[in-house]
Amino acid sequence: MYEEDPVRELIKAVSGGDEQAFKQLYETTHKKVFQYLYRFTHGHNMAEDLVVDTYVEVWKSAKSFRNESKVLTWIIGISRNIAMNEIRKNKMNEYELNEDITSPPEQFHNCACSEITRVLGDALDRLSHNHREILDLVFLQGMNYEDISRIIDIPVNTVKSRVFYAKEKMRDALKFMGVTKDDLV
Amino acid sequence: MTSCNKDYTSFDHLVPLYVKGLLTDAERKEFEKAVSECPDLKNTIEEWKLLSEAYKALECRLPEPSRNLFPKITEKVRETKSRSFFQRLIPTPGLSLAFMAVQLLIIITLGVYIVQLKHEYRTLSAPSVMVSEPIKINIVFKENTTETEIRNLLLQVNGRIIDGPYSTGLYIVGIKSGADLGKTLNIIRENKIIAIAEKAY
Repeated sequence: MYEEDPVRELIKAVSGGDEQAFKQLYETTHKKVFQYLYRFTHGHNMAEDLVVDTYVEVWKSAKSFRNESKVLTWIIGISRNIAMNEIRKNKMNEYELNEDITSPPEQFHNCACSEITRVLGDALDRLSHNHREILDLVFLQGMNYEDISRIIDIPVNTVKSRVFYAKEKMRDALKFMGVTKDDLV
Repeated sequence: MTSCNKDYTSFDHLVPLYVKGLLTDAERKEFEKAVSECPDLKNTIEEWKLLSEAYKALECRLPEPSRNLFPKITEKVRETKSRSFFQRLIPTPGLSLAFMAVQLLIIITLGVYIVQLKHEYRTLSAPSVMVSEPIKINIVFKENTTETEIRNLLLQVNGRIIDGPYSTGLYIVGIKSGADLGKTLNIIRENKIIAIAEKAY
C-alpha cells in the first residue's frame, strides 16, 4: 500500500469521472511520463502522441488502479505498454530494443555541461535499450527496484542484476570511447 | 570488495538507490554502517554519483512536452465517451468480429426465410395423407374459379390434386381408395365451380 502517495486521492477522483482531478493528475505527472517516453522512443512527436494515449488510458482505467503501487509507477507502466505496442506496430523494435550497443541518440552532444558529464552522457547513450531504460527509471524517474519490477514486469532480482550489468556496460562503453576511470576522477 | 573483511556484495545493488536517496531510513542506516566497515563501497558510490550527475545534466536538457497536449487528451476522452453503446459493450476486436459474424448469420437466416416465404407452394389438397393407391378423378374447373373455392371443395371430399393442370386445364384429383366414388362424384359435380368431373382410368 502507498498511503503516502499524494496523487492517490486524485486517481480516486478520476475513477469517479472528476475531470478537474484528471487535469490535476496530468499536471502533476505528465512531465515525468513525457521524459520517460522521450528517452524510450527518442522522438518528440512520438513521445507526445504516446503521452496523449497514456492519459486517455489512465482516464479509462482509473477504476482498475489497485493502490498496490505509486500512481506514477502505474502510469509509467501504462505508458510503457502503449509505447511497446506502438513500437511493435511500427516494427522499430529490431533496431531499438536489441541488447547490443546502439548508435547514440546524441542527447548529450550539444550539452554545455562539464566534460566528465558529457562523456558519461555519451557512454550512457551507447547502452542497449534495456540497460538505458533501467538506469533512466532509477535516475530520471526516481523509482526503486520494486517500482521498476512492476513497470517492466520482471522480478526484482532481475532488476538488480540488470542494474549491475548496466554499470558493466557503461564501463565497456567508456573503454570503447577510450576513456579510463582516471579520466573521470 | 577484496579489502573488506566481510562480503559486502549484497550492498552493491543498493548503491544507485543510496545515491539517488531512494533507500528507506532503515536501509540507509544499514547501508551507511556497511560503508563505514568497507571503504571500498565508497569507490562504488563515487562511480554511481558521477552517473547521477550525468543524469542531472541530461534532465535539464530534455525537451519539454507541448502545452496543447491536455486539450488533445480531453478531446480523445470525449470521443471515447461518445462511442456507441455497442462499441463500448464490445471493446476488443475479436469480440467485435464475433458480433459481426452473428449479425451476418441473422441477416442470412432472415433472407433465406423471406425468400422461402415468397416461394412457398400451398397445395390445393386435403391435409390427410393417402397411403394406398387413390381413386383418380379428372376435373376441369370453370374459368375464374378461386383457389379458396377449389380448396374448400377438396376439403369437402377429402381429396388432393395429384397431377395437373394440363394445357387443357385438366386436373387429376385423388380420393382415398375406400371412398364412395359415386357419392364423391355427385358432390363434386354439384359444385358450381366444376365444368367436368369424371372418373379417370
